Amino acid sequence: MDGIVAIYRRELAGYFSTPTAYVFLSIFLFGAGGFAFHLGRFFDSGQADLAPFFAFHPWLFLIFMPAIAMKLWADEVGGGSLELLMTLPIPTWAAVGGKFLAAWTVAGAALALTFPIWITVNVLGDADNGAIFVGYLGSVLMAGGYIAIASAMSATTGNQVIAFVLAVFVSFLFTAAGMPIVVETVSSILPAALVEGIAGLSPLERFESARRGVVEARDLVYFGSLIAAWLAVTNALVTARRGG
Amino acid sequence: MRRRAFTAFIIACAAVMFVSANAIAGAVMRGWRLDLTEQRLYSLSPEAAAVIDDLSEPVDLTFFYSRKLAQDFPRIRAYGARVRETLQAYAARAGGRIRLEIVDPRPYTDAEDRALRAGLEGLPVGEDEALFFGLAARNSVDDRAIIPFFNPDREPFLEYELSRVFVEMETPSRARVALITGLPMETAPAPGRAPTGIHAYRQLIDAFDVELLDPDWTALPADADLLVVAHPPPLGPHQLYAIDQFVLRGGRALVFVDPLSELATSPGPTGLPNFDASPRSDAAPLLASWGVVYDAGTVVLDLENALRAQFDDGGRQVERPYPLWFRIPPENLDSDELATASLRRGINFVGAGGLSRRQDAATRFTALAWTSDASATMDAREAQLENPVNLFARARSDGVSRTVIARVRGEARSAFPDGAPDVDDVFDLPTPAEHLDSGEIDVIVAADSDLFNDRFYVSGDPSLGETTTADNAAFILNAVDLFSGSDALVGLRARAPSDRPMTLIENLRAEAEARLAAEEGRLTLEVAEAEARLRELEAAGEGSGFFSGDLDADLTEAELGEVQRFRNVIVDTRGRLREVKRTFLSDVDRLEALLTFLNVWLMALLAAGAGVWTFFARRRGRASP
Repeated sequence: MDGIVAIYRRELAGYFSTPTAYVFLSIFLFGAGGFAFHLGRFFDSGQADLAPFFAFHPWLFLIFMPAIAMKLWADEVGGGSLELLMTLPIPTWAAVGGKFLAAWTVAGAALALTFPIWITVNVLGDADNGAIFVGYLGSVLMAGGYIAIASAMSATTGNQVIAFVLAVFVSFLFTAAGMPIVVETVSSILPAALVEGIAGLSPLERFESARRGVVEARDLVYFGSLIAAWLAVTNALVTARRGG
Repeated sequence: MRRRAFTAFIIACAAVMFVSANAIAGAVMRGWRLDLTEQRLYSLSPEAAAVIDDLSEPVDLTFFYSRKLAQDFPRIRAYGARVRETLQAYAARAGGRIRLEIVDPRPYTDAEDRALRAGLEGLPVGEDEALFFGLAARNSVDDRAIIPFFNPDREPFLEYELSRVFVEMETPSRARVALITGLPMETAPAPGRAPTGIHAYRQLIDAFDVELLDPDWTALPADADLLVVAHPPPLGPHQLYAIDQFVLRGGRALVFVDPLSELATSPGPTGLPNFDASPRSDAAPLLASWGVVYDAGTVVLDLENALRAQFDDGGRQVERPYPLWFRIPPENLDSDELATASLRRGINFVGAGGLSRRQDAATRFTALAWTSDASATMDAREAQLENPVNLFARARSDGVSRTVIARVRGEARSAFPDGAPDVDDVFDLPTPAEHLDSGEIDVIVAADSDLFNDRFYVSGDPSLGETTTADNAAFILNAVDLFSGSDALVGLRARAPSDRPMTLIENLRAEAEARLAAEEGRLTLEVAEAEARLRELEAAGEGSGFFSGDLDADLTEAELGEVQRFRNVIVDTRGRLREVKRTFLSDVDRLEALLTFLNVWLMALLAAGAGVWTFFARRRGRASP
């Protein structure tokens, strides 16, 4: 347990000691607000809710989460510090977990910094704060899922840019599974239950109830298992590097 | 090599675990949810639970859902899952008294025949394929009820529709409603289609046995459970007497009268308006005998709750609050009365009248809906002719709220103290029952018939799915339910996601509009005065100068100066009027710009600033030893 905390601290300090994390935060905050207010036409909706804000989260995360997680392992592999890390008396899973949690914290901080929009809807009208809370909760979980994917992709290469591109690609595959265009295509070949299953693998579908203000137990399982599965993959890839 | 195989094996395991965990969770944790929306919109409500708990007979439900065809329609697919789970939740709650069967009616199968026989409607998709998405219910004593098609637009009403199925089976004889109306309840058909009714009317026919009485009816149906009188055509004495006696005998009545009905003069089933229709209706002397004061010549204006109207202002389409149209918000609806308590979006009124209690009335008068304090009254004909700007400027609020819907209960006297009126011209009158001079009454009176008017609260095409923006129909159906004794459904009808308006912006807008209206009125008046004065002066100059082509010839120097001054005033005032119109929303624009800045730019800039600071701090750190 000490190991995971140590790695977490080191990684988190690493984020905030260079300007990179701030640049990402800045772009994310600008994107989240810009999408909600301009593309989402926040004022035109006339409603004091955050629907136009949450609607763009899956797509924002698709780019932003790979950006903050791309360096997690690629940096160590490329810079040759992985060997050093592995000589520490820390199990691999603790390193994987600590790094993941650090990146997730950055994502959480990014979401927390969108608080002005929560104040805004409460000033403008009578907002449903229970529903907004669940929306944020779902958003945080979804961010964890995307980071776990990006973490695994980062462990496959020593190049951050390649890690980023791979992570965006895999995240896109997952996200797109819930898009009508994909569903329509596969529905002509596969049985209905399987199509529903495939669409259910997409964060788009799983984020839906949270956006409405409902916590679904199976969505919690989905995000939890998504994170666990991709961290297991990360663990396997890092272990392989250590040995190879 | 072995190591690589091991890594691949771990990855495969992770994938299998992920898929199976979700498959198991999907099957086991169905319906395990925590609904944190303020109104618990996605939970089994206590009202729906009560309906299930009260089932007297076991019920077989067959859910027909073309699951495969539905995959191409994301909204139907999502709603299909929701309906299936809700039905499963119902079945679980009923513990064996509801048996649920789920059928996928594929084309050319027995299942498809079953769906059609049950009376479901297939949505045609592709070549001779039909998508079924409905429900057939049957209980052990063979009462049946169906939902022909689950419309995704009506998702918030899912519990209501399902509960209605159960209630219909439990009470196989539907309440009988006698309807007296001068409103065009059936509207013009779309080309090639049967005439369709207005929204509230269709809902009424769906839920009740409605008998629409001829204008020259002579007797109320003997078995009517309740009477709905909606903007009646002028009623004959024997008709009024029949209603009087019906109500005194304990018959419930729902009465809509109106000083200015927009709907009455709208096109009916023929596509043309009924030329006999009057925009004004009354139920005198019945209302007075029930203890209600109502004036069919006066409309109520609500300045605070005014809806917006578009009108033509000198060739330009502008939108302004129009106090003749208003929405009574839920705060101004009685929260103790079943008919109004569950309404969350408010009711829209158009040219409504005011109701009050007669000083000497023995009955109890309960206001169900009332205007804001910023209300006023005006002669109905005058109000009708004014455009929104002038109406707003002319209306003088006296700071009194006015009742627009009321429920009246208690001991009332007959409006016909001398018994049945003598009627010579109607010879086939039924033998009157014994005359009642007084009785215990219970009626709801609404001073507006435009509660039925689709134009003010329904959008969309009936065949494609309609959405309502106010609870007009919900109120009407609630009131009918309440009076027909089937009030199990009342709380479920208006469970729509509530409208959460940006009140701050709306208030700013309303203030700006009020200012604009006042300013517009003042400047318009100034221009008119200056023009009148100018015409006077020019008329004085027309005498001799007319033929010489110099209109101003007869004017003195001083008068000429005056003319010039008025011309300048007119030009100047018109300029100011344009300026006022252009900038009246600047407060709203400023607020929106500020909020956009705070949310889009501020935090982003702060984060960027922190980054720059870190960058320089690091450089300094490196530079110093």
